[in-house]
Amino acid sequence: MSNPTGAAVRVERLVKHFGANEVLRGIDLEVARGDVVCVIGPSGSGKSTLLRCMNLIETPTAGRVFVGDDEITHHKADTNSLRSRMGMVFQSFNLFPHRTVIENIAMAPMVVKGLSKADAQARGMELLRRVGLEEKAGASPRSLSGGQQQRVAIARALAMEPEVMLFDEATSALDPELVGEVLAVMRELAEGGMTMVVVTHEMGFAREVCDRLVFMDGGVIVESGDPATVLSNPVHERTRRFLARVLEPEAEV
Amino acid sequence: MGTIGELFFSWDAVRPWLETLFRGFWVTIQLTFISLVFALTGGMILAVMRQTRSARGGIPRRIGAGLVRLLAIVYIDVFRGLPALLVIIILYVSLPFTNIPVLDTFTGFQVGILALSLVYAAYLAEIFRAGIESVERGQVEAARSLGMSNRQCLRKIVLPQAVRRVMPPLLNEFIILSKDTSLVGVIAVSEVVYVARGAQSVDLNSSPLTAAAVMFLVFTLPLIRIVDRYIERDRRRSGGGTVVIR
Repeated sequence: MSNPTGAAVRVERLVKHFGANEVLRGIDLEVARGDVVCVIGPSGSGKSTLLRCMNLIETPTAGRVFVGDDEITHHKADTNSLRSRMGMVFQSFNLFPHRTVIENIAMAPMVVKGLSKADAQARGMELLRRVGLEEKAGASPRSLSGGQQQRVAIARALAMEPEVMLFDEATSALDPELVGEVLAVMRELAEGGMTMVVVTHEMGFAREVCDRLVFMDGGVIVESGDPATVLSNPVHERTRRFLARVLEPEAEV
Repeated sequence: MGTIGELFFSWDAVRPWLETLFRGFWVTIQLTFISLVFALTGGMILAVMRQTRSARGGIPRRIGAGLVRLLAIVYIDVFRGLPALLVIIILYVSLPFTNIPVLDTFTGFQVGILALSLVYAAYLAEIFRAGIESVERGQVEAARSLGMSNRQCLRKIVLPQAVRRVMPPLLNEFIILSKDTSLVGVIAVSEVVYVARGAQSVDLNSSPLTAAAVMFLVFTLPLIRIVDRYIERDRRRSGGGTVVIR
């Protein structure tokens, strides 16, 4: 169970099959503490599955995943407590509709960490302030816009004080005018030193915020490196074709 | 003599029986609510048993989970498939001869509660199951990604949402249960239908039966209105309803 490199998260030869469908075909990935890694690639390339396998929402077929020094895929691992060290933000927000905004944020610290309601809610208010939504504490998630819901979801994940944040296409379900407010929160988080793995279609965000860009296709990492280099000077033909389609959708053949 | 009015709506024919009828209705109410509490508990346990899955863990754990699930399925199918009346009769005539402590001395009233609880636990289990399955996968994923255990996720996230969604069918089942208590009359428990029938057979006037009907309606009609309100609210929330496009 040792992880000599001291990375925040490390993925080793990760394989995932859905029946005969090989979604991940041997992924190796290491994210250093404080780094922001963006994962891009065409739909079906396995980037979401990679993220979901990292905190075992999806059970990997083979391979190992480490959080800090602990292997989450070890058969004796305390999956629940290791999971809580990684925060996850979903495309569809997944706020708990039967609870208010502040209860959404305070629930896991109370249930999992045993915090008192007063403590959990006080810290929840701090997080709400950070995402600019303190006036919505008592509101129902239903009454919020998509962008607001996603900011609450980020605050909810942060409430568990994770070492790593995983973003699974966090802005893909949003109306275009609401994407900015969520990206702004993510950017601030990155600047605050949070370790992040971000599956995204936002090339601007990838270029400006991330330390390393990973391009996935067909269940493998095709290319990875400095974002500016990968985006403007991709080595692989597949990366080039994908970027051409994404950056100039009109020119598609 | 013999007009419909006198046969069904004679106050004079009801008055001497009024206290008996009210006492009978009180028995009906008790049968309803006590059975409901047991059926809700049993139904929830059965529904959760039926959801048991073991994604991780060795072969013994998986077989164990499979057995728990199978047990729940067999129970639910059997009791959904049997008439409540038959269950009441079987238990009433057989329990005294079983030599099972406590059970072999059950009164008719207690047998009635046992039988209705057994049967309605199966019905309510199916309703709870529908509710549990209606909660989106993303809710479970969010809860688990926050570090909640399977059990915590079920208690805090899935079941509260599931129960809320199935309130209308639960209330419906509650109404049906209250009416099915009259089946217990067959084993001479003095619920309201049984005593009204007795009164009718003495005076050969049907008005006590009408009185029993009125008591039922006073109880069930408000519940029926509440169910309708729930359904209307859900309809508005989901934007459904009668759609006419010309």
